[in-house]
Amino acid sequence: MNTKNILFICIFLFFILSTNINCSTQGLNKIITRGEQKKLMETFEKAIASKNYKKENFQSLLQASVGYQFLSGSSIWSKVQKEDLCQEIKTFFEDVSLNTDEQYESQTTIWNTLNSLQSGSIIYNELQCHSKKKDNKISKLSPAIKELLLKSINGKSSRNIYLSGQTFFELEKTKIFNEKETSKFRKVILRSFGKMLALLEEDDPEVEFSQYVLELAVLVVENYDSETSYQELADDDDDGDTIIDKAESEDDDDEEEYESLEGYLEMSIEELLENVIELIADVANLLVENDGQIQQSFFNDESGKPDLEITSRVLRSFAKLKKLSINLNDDDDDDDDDDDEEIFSEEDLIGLAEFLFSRKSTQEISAAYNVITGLKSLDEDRVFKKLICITADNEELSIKQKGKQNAMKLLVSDLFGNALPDDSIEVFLFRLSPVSKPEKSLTSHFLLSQDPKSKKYVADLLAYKPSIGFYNLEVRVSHKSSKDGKSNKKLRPFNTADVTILTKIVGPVKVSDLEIVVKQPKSQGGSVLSRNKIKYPETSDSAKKDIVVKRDNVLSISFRVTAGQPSKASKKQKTGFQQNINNLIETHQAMVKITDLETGIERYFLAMQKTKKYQCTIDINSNDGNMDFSSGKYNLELIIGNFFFEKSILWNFANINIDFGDLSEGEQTILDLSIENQKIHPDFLIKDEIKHIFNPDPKRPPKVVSNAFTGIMLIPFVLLIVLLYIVGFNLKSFPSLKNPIALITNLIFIATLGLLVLLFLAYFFKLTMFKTLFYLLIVGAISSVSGYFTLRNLDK
Amino acid sequence: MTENSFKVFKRIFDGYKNSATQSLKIIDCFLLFQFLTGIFQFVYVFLVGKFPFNSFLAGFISTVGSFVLTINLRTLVDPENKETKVSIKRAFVDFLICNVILHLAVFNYIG
Repeated sequence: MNTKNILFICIFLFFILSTNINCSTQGLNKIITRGEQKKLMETFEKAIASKNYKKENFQSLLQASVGYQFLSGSSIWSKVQKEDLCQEIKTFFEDVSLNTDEQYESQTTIWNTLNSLQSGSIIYNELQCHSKKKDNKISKLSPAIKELLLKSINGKSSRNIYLSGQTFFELEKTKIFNEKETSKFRKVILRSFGKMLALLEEDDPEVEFSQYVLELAVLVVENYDSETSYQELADDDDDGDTIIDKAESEDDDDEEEYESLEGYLEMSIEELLENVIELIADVANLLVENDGQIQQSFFNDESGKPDLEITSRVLRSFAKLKKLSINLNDDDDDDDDDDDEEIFSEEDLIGLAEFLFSRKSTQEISAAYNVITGLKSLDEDRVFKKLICITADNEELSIKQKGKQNAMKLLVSDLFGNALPDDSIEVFLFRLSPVSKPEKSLTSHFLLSQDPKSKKYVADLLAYKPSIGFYNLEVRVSHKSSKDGKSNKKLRPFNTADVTILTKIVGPVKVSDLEIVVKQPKSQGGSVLSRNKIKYPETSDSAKKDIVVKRDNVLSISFRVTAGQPSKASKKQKTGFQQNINNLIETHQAMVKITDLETGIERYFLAMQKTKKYQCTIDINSNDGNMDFSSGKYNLELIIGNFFFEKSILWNFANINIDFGDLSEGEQTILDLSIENQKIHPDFLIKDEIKHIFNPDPKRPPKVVSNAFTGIMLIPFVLLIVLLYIVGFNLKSFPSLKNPIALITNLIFIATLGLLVLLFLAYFFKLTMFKTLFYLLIVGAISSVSGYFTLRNLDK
Repeated sequence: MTENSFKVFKRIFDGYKNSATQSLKIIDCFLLFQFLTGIFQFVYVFLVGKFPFNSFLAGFISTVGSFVLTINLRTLVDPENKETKVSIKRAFVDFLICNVILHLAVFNYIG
């Protein structure tokens, strides 16, 4: 071998190996399935169907519409009552009155109002309310809102700046602001953005702060010409000073505020944008703690847990910014993209995707919206490295079934389950290795073919004759250029992606060489009394051998568990895994169950693995094995179970007779107690239904007694009349006929008194309290009037 | 002994007959009537038991309440009462109104 050959071989090997070494990235084993997408769409539809058009719900409506658009491609606005919604928005913008003084209006209220303003203005433009009907056009913006917007933009909260900025730009499209106002707003927004950027350069920026700066950056780039710079907007400040002048002024406050802007004063928007992306990278680096915690710590809220809203917002705005910067640099060649340093590594992206997947089963609109927009941003072409997802239809295969129906079908797709174009990828079955022995590999690099109907890649794993167990299936997807030599833009940049899928191979098992040995205990010599071999799946009865066990004996049961069909079937089948039939298998559960057929007493005994066989020993003399001294027929069952068995085994392999002979007193009591215990405690049986009976009324006296006492009660009345007669009851003061008015009023008064008594009686028998009170008022009025006159007459 | 007590009672009774005006005596008869009614109801309940309690309360409160109101009327009507200066008519009207309200409550309770 000369050096040339060696060199050639080395280069050749290098090329072969390089395909394996060359930047292999990770992929995902999950997607958001069609079913889950449908559920989320239903959530969005519900929000619209509820027709809750109040200003508090504008944000929900907007989120529902965006989410729906992403998922279905069609707009949800066609299902909305546009008239009502436009009217509601118009009323909100024209009529709302706010006390924008901070001490009277809480931060939450201001934020809620700004939220409603932002969402409302976006919806207004999407529905084109201003063009359709004159009624719906916002004629005049309420001054309170203008004041609020200006105040928020000039304030310190980046969130409020963003919300009010977006509101302004949306409303500007409806031409509701005049030129002077427009220019003022634009100047102020740009200035605030610069201030925020300057603050970002300080150490330890808060996440809440930086997430909104990204949104602001998107706003600025979308709405300002890329050539604009501060210089142009610096000139016409309110008091005549330019921003540069203010930066050099002697007033401390002014100087401080405008000093930080100095660096940005001469930048164009394009340059600002580059700065933003750099700053975000710095922010990411600042917040990274350990390698493993990257995705968790970047998007945390204060408590340290990852937050869905923050994650989604940062991803959305980052994706928009990246796309805008790509658009600005559109003339460059494709090759340059590879050299870009990625801010988010593959682990970051996978962590983010997994985090978003963990929240995908939600009924809340805002959560669903965040999940969908976050995933869409991750999936965006040319922004992040493409995340490849490989999902299998079935992750469990059975050895019994053969053929293409039992092969594993893999879907190679993006995050949303859309299959990648098949002419630009190649799918390899990279490794199939048992989980317990990862160094042993059953296959290597094997190109998978695609099923034309379902567009899924077929992996016929059973061709490699695996035995049962857990396997790690590593699948590699590699990118290939299409026929015309140009690589598919949508899939860049990725070279290869690896996904590991945990698969389970199950198969049938059988028990072989089962032997029951009855022998004397060691203390008495340990001699074997009987030995029986039983074939699976028969029982000892078919062999017609009666196994009798006496008091002191020891039962020893040994057996082997192997993969394969019961012996009858295995002769007929010409399976590819015949060589595995003698493979011994470890089981998870192996035990023998003894049941007394008469009393129902049962006991379990574990079987331990000794060399190649399982062995179970039942000592009849011991406390466990004495079966509470119950003589009679017993059932012996073998229970074998494991994850990989197609069907676990429950095999009644023997019926034995245990004979205890005469029992001593102590033993008899044990037996009796045991039989008692087998009965179900009455507390656990169904009891009779209780029918509630109310307390019966207590006894009443006999009617005679009650009636007698009623009579007795009349006696005082009689007594009263008698006494009145004795005392000399007379009607002297009664007005005579000479004074008719007085007479009449007197009579009326007495009549009303009588009416009162009648009214009470009527109340008792018929009327309700309300009616009684009503009549009482009337009667009372009459009686008071007539009474007054009567009593006045008495004087005379 | 009993002769002495009898004499004392007679003296009190005569004093009463002489001093009281007729209207007072009428009111006193009425008072006696109400008192007896209340006593009889109480004895009945004592003998026979409290069921139904609401009816007993209604009857008893009727008599007791009326008794109290009548006593009030009597004190206001008594000419020897020089502390309170309310006209007889006013007292009587109050008596009537309070009785109406009392019996409204009582009729609620009879059940």
